[in-house]
Amino acid sequence: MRAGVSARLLRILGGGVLVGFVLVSFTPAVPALRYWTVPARASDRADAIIVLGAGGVAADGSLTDTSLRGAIDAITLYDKKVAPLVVFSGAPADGQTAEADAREHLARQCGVPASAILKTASARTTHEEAQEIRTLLAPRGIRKIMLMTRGPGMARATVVFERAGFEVVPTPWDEVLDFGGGPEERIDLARQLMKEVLAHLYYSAAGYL
Amino acid sequence: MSYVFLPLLAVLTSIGAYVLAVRVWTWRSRGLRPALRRALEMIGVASVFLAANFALGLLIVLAVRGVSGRFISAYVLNDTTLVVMSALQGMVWSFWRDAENS
Repeated sequence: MRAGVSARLLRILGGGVLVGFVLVSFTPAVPALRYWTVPARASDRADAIIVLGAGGVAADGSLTDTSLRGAIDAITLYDKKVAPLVVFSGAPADGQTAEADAREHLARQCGVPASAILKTASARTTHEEAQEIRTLLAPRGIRKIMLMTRGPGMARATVVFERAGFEVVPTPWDEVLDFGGGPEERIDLARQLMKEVLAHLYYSAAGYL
Repeated sequence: MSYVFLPLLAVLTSIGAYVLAVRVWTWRSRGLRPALRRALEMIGVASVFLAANFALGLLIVLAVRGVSGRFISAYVLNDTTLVVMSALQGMVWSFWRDAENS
């Protein structure tokens, strides 16, 4: 009897997983969910552009595609005079170049003056990034920031930086509503969203939100 | 196109396999239903293993952070191989259970 019940429960669980797989892979449910979860507040000006660490650097010291996208978008916004200052974040992983250093190097090569760049290469979590960046920007009286990170992490990062005392303009650097791509990309996006749900739970439990 | 092409391939090969099994190898079609049920059970077991692997991994990451002060990113768990290994664990467990029950 017990074996029958457990087999039935396993079938229900397996069926649920299968339905979830089909919904994630072969419908636009996940891109729509991502669009729904990313906060959007339009603004054309801020005191600083903050680019959170994401993606890191490759073994050869170059920025990964994800990290590069954030850096390029921030440089483009600086070029459009959206803010007079860019802050790059990103800690090193196991002896590699710090992401913040690699991003700063790229920005300097693109013509952003050193005086317009700040960086923090020691923060390893969003919470630590908010604390470190507050320490960097508070003496300058900077309050309104354009916060840049990947879409799925934007809602949590926005709250964490608001709690650190900033007025936040969320500016995700990847497309928020994109129904293109294949099933693998949608599965990857679903994985990012699930990761974000867990991070949200952890941050809530830790009192960061 | 990306939404329908791959499922269509799976549907077509499934129909081909069904026809081959029933017409050529004279398998009984009523055996398909229990086979699907067993497949769902196997997916269920694999899901339990995935959740267990993930929960244990998260506990270890948090324990190492708390005890040693060394930072390990929880993103080490964000890896497709964990899904593949959990699927293998689920398969072995299911076959073992079948052997015990037969």
